[in-house]
Amino acid sequence: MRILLLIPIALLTGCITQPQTYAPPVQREPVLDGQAPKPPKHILQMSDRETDAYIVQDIPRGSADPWRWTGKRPTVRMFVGDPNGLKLTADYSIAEATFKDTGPVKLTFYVNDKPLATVDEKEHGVKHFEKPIPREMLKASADNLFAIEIDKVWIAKQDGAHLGFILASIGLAPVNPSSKETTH
Amino acid sequence: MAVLLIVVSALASVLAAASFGALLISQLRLPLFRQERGVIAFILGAGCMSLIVFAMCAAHIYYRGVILAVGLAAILFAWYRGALWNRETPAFGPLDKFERALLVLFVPFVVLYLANAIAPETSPDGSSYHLGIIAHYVRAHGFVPLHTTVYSSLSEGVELIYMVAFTFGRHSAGALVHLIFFSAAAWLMVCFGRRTGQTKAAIAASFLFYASPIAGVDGSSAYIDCATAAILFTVFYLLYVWRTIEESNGLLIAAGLLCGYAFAAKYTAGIIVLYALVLVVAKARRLRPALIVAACAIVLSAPWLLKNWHYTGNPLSPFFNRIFPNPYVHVQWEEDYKQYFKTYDMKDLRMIPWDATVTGNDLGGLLGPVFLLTPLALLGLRRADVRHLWLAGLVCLIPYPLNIGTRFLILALPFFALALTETIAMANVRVLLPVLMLAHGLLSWPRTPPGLLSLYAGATWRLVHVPFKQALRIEPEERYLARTQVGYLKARLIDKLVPRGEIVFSLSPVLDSYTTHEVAVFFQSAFGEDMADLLFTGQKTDRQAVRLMRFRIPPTSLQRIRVEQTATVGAGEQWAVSELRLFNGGHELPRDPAWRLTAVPNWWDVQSAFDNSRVTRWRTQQRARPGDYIEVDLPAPQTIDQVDVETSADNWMTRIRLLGAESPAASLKLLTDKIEELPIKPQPYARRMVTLEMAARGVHYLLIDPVDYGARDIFEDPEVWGLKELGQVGENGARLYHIEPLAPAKATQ
Repeated sequence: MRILLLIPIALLTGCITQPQTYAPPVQREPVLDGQAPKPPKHILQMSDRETDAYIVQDIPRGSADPWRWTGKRPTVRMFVGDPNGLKLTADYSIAEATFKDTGPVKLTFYVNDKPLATVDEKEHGVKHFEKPIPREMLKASADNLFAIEIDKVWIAKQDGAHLGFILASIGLAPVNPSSKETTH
Repeated sequence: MAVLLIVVSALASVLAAASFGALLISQLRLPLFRQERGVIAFILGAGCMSLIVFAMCAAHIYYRGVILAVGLAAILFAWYRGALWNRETPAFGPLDKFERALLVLFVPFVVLYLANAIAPETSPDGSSYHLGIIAHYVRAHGFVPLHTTVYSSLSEGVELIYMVAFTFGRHSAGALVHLIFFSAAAWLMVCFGRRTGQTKAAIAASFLFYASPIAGVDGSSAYIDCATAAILFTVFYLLYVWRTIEESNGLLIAAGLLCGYAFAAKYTAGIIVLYALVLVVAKARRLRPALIVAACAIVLSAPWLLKNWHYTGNPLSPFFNRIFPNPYVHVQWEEDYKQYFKTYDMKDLRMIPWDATVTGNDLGGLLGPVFLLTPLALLGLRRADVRHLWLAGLVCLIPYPLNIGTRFLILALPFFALALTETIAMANVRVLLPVLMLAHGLLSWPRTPPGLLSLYAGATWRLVHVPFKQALRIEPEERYLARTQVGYLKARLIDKLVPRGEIVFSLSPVLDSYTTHEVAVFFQSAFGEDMADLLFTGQKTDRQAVRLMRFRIPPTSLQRIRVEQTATVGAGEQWAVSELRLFNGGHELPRDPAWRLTAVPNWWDVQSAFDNSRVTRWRTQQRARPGDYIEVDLPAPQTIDQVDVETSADNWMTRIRLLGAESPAASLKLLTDKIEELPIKPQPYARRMVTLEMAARGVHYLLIDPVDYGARDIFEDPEVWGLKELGQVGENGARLYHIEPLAPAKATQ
């Protein structure tokens, strides 16, 4: 009987493993400069169907064209992990057709509803904006709101549509530390 | 055609099992009546067949042709020997009209369960691991180590019977086999009443069991609880025959085998051997009958212990990992797992009876409100039969505190149902049992009207409809699954886009049985937890090496260097070391392949602290304890004046000290416990580093669901992770990514 009891105990204790030793593994290269992809960027292209998921207001959804008409205050939301060293960037156009009626317009760029910059557009045509965002304007590891407000909208006579400007892209990009980027 | 294949596969598997059982019953000359013989033959034979399938899987000869030949041979041999059907076998007398009328109440539930069992399998555990694991075995023609899921270490005695049916009839055939187990248990309960002279009470008890909402939803899917209940009740039944009719060794052998099969079905069900041994010793007043039971129990239970020992080093995996430490299940996982299942996060455990019988809100299902009457069965304790039922039921409940989910009560349900109805029958009020049955039926029927279940049981796990269209495949299986199961769509996406043999890592469960790939879900294995830790480290800098603990000592010749943890920390806090570096004169000692590294506990991961990566780390994988250590043994003594321990910022309570010795034989001495703490800048490319590390560990594909932790970060910029999106489930569903390798030209830099 004792032997019968001892057999399973012996079997079970025989299973117990002792700490083992290992050689150092293949050494990883901790610095991936030159090999790694670029640092995070968040550029919403209007031609991208996924952009719809980021629109908060005043940008039509469902379009696959490379640009979209905006309303008075197009707004998008984007996730920001590390708020350091980012700039707001936008590609847009002031349409000649609306400019004829509105004349020069002012565009104010907002980050989380706080103004980042105001730009006077005295001519129609293709425009580009970029400006570093102070760290304190951004929320880390959270959604942030980015908006561009135009002071005068063009109202279509046929259907009463309110048109602002033509947006091609908006987003965040890393500030290049070697350049003196301030405004557009 | 599909339905026919499902039904034929299930029935053929059951018939094959019954043939093994019938041959054994004939050989053992068990004194059974015709009505009970077939059912016991199936359950006993399932145990035997599971052992045969186990042996085939272990030998890697599980092929369709082989199992078909074995099954057919068993059926033909049993038929030839007259074991399957014998006119000379005595039978119970016919049921009276009233009893037959009571049996009519079963009909709607049989239809309900048949439709749900034959309909495409969608149950959470059934369609994931119960069938998912055996699907891997079928493809591999035998057992394969599946270290991506701890569930592969659980005993699978019932699943191996599903496996036979699954091989030919796929998922629903497996579920149908379970329904046959379930129905067999219910029928055996009726037979028990025939033997005890309590037929009406037994029919009522059988109905309480069969119509119970939790038993119904479990028993008509590819779970195993009702099958396990059937095994347990058969043990009880055979021992009843042994103690009341004939004290034969044959009955003890059969009961012993089934005790082993209970363990093979579910670890905790192995507790029935306790009941068997106590009963046999008490009745026989000798040890030999108990030894027969124990020895036979070992025959069917030991293979599972050996399988685990072979594959994981822990015979009782995925539990007891402190006693049998192994790289496949973390101790912390086990403790968290146990802690959760002890409470299910219920605020007041006194509500268990109410939740388990009426609402099912917290415990994942309900037995039915009539089971609130169970305490009444205490009044029946003056009857010997009822006392035995109570004893068996209570023994089956011994493991219940370890997992208080309602379905874990199913194992004891037949005993308490019988005890209750036999007690009620003692009142000699003819109408009571039919009223109880009718009330239970109405309270348990899912459709309203006439059923009431949906009126009081909310979103708990239960059957909700009679899916005729799906059962008959009027709505094709593919369409139904795609319409109702996101997990199925994920599985199909994986099969479509991921090359054969590749593991997919996912933070959320997938219906594993519908994909041919191994899916490492993060909470289902040590491997998955390690992958998740890496992924989260990419986003959370506090998991990276951001703290440097520096020991400075006078230049000393050392061959062994040990860093030891000394503090008693809070629950769940682990000690982590991202990198351990040795210095002399300001220069780091290059890591030599001749170095020997170890750690306690979790020595398997020690290389993560010596891989020169600040996004990987060795962790204790359990609450840090004083005496835990990480150690380097050098091939020869070297002068050392500084030891750097790089660690993460999520183990603040740990304290460390430096020990060393001049030679392997010398005892360790304290060198210093003073540390200089310095910050380390987080890794700028942590995201990419973790995906490269995942790839280095064999994971090249990630499935990320929008609800997963950190999903947004990946969705917003997969490129920064080095991920390429391959596909997506629906418009806003999970996305499948491939971890891109470094560009060859740059990788050689």
